[in-house]
Amino acid sequence: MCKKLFLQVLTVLFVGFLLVGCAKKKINNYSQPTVKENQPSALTQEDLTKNATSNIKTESEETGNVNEYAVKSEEISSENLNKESNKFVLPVLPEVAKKEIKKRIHFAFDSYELNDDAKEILKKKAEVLLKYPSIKLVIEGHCDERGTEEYNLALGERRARAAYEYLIMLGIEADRLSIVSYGEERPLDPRHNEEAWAKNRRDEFKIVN
Amino acid sequence: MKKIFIIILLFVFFLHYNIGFSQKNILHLNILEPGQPQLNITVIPPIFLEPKEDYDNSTKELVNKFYHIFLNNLSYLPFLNLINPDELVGGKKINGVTLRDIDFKKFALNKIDFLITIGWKIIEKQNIKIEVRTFDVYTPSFYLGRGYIINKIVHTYLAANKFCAGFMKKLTGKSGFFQSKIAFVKRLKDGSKNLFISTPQGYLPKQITFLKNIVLSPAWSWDGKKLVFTYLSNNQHKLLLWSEGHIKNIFIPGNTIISPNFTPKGEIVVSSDMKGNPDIYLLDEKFKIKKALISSWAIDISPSFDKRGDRMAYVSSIYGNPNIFLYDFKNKKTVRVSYIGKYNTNPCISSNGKYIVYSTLTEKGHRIVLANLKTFEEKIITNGPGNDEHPVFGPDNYFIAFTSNRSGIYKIYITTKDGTKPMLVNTGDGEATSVAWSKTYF
Repeated sequence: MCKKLFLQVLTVLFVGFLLVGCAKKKINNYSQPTVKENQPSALTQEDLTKNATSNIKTESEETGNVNEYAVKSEEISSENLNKESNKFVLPVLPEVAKKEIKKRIHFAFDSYELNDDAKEILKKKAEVLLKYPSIKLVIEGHCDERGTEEYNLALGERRARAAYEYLIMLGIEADRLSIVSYGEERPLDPRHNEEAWAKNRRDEFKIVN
Repeated sequence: MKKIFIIILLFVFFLHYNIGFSQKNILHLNILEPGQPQLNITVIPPIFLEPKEDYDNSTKELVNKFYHIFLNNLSYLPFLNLINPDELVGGKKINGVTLRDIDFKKFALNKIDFLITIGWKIIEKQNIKIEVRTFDVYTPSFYLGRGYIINKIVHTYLAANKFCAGFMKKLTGKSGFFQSKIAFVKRLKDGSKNLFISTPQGYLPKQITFLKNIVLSPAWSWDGKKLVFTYLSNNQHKLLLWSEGHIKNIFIPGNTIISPNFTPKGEIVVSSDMKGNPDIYLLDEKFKIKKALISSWAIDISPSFDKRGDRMAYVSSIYGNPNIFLYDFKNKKTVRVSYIGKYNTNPCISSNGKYIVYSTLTEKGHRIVLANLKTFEEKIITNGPGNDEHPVFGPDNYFIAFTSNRSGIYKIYITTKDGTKPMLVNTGDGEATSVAWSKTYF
């Protein structure tokens, strides 16, 4: 009886030890990418300033020539940013789902209202997103060249946000979606006519891992 | 005793009369008031001041370079009508560069108001001494003279700018144009857009950022030591601060960072969508959000301040379309400024708080509008073709820089608040946009 009890206690302890070990592994696996991502919210302003300025080398430091304006500082940060773009790796998805996600939506001039076509496209995107819960999306807002630069940046934000809010209404978690406005900086069609402008007033959807 | 008193009285009267007379003779223009006359001016090509012409070609080229930069400088001043000396009746010949060497009657008959002479000679160590003199032809009298020692191309720009600044100061009371700087965004061959600084004519350009993506909306601090701007990188907007060769990344919440600017106190103001809409926020000296200045359900962007910091012009789409508004910090009241058209953006308030310039979308493209903040009258001051956008006042509140694609590609042009003929700023090849004009003199 005593021996049986001892064995039972030993088994419970062993299983418990195993479970604790596994849990630790899980925490480690989870915490690593968080550090790598270097989320701005986890850093103070001072940290950001330090990071930004520590990368800075003026031309005078590099070449010995006095040049009060020239800065090569952000070349390093730009390289980092370019590396960031490599994060966009499409997960294994059926072609149909990929096509659905990639479909653009379009807007009227100086408008961020979702028309019926746009809503239909977003509904189908939502279906894909619900089916594949590991997918995260960046919604890019774009404008045509007719508006002015700064206002187009704001309008692009509103266009991206319109799609973002609609997808949330359709049940997609907010932390799977992010938005960015490119204003008029990345036209799809470089021509200067109504056909090109209509193409350029759009939201694009990019999958991010 | 009475005699002495009368003599003193006569002497004072004589002195006063003479001073008054000489003051009346000094030509002066109030460029901020409308209806100023255009003065005819001619610049005689440089004259070598030594008897024996012993110099090499490179020296002569440097002097000619100075002459052409000098002429180009004067061409930016719309109140001067530059007359080609080769077209003067009776010819351009003068016997020397000083007052006694010149027959002013010939120039008066040609209706010249100002005559400028340039004399030069070589002094030790390959230095060139350039003497520039301006004469009032009708008096005739000496108006302004300066000497410069130059020995390389950069000196020719600096000397020409210094003289023109002095000349403009004496003529109009304002020298800002030639002592200020502009910042602008230039698209490079690799597709990136980076920040440059130059004089308002495009002289001595320097690239100050070397980023791989897109720089937008630079704005000068009021002391001219800093520039704040938006950086559009992959999937991220950043607020960057350039200061004496260093760039700081300022983190503020929100996905979209638009149209940062400085208050006269040196605080940064920026539009961010941290609460779901682009609203205008004031940052403190540690770059933390101090408070929202303008917050609504609509798009609120593009803040611009007068010198006192009492009033802020901005864009809001609160009535559906983007329009220009003016917020008064003292009485906490907002007034709508723009009533022309339905798409009004890019406001810039003059530092004296008298005017706002902005761009309005017409059927023929964007045009620049000048709004008088006393009468609230609005006047379109550019006429394209193409789009005229993003106007900014120079530090003198007279000149206005803007971007236009009238030549087929976006470039920077300079006009005045009176809508004078726009002058192209030479920014080299490629697109140049987002011009910001320093609010101080260098």
